Amino acid sequence: MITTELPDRPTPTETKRPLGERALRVVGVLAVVGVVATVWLGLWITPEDQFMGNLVRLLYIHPPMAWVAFLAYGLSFLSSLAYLWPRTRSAIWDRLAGASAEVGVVFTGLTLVTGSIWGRPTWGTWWTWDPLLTTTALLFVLYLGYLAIRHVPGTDEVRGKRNAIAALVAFVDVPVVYFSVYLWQSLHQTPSILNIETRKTTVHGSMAWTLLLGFCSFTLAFIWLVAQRYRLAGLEAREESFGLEIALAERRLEGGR
Amino acid sequence: MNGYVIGGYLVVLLSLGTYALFLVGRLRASRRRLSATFPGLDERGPEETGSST
Repeated sequence: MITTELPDRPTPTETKRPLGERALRVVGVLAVVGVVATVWLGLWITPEDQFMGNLVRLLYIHPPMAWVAFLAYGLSFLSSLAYLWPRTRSAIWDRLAGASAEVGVVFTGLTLVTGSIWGRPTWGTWWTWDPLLTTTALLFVLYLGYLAIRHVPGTDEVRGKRNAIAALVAFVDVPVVYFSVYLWQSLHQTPSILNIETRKTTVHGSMAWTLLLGFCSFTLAFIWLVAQRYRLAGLEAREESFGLEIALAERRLEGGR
Repeated sequence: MNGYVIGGYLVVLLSLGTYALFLVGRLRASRRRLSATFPGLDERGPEETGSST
């Protein structure tokens, strides 16, 4: 390892961002507190459901997982649009799209797993080719493909455009997933809150508050995770950007020995 | 408590916890590599700091 001076090293004021750092820490702490409270309320405080019994407790985590996945893909979609728009084109948007999509894939995976765990005792099977389940699995695979495409080599601009177009293509499946329970005869129930067909909410009292807390807590966790992934992408870009410089400096040192 | 319920909660908490630790670990490793080579360098991407390299 060598130590060298950067020709355009940032000034000390650029290197310190205490406000953003503190805000992110607060978000992280709130997310942990919120998730712990959701687990406590979901497992021990809320009552059993008259039809689902104890299995209703899985619904305090399953819909929030799906919501966060949608949120992540929405952010990835908007960031990709911002990258493709010539006036706003910046690698910042590309990195944000990638960070958000990666976190979205984690939450989509958890949506599928928690749904499957709920489906086994309720429907009698771990998996069925129901429209909602199938389109969600497709969404998971599409975004895995998007993450793979991000590693295909090319110039920064070519990679950025390719990533953005892939994100837009993958996003097409998001409304299909959401409306699949309305469009096709689905085994999966329609949403218990904000149902666009009945315009009714069928969750009330402590169950509704716990579910709401779950949505808020996992959204905060999403913000924290995306911020960390985004920062990591920034560091990786720096490493990649200075990789050649490091190699050249190492060569110079080797030559001087 | 139902085993499916406990299993579901464990999967979510362990997965998110592991992913968070994985990200933090990679962040620290990347910071260590960069600061060993370029002391005082911040973590933003080249275009955010105005760097042309």
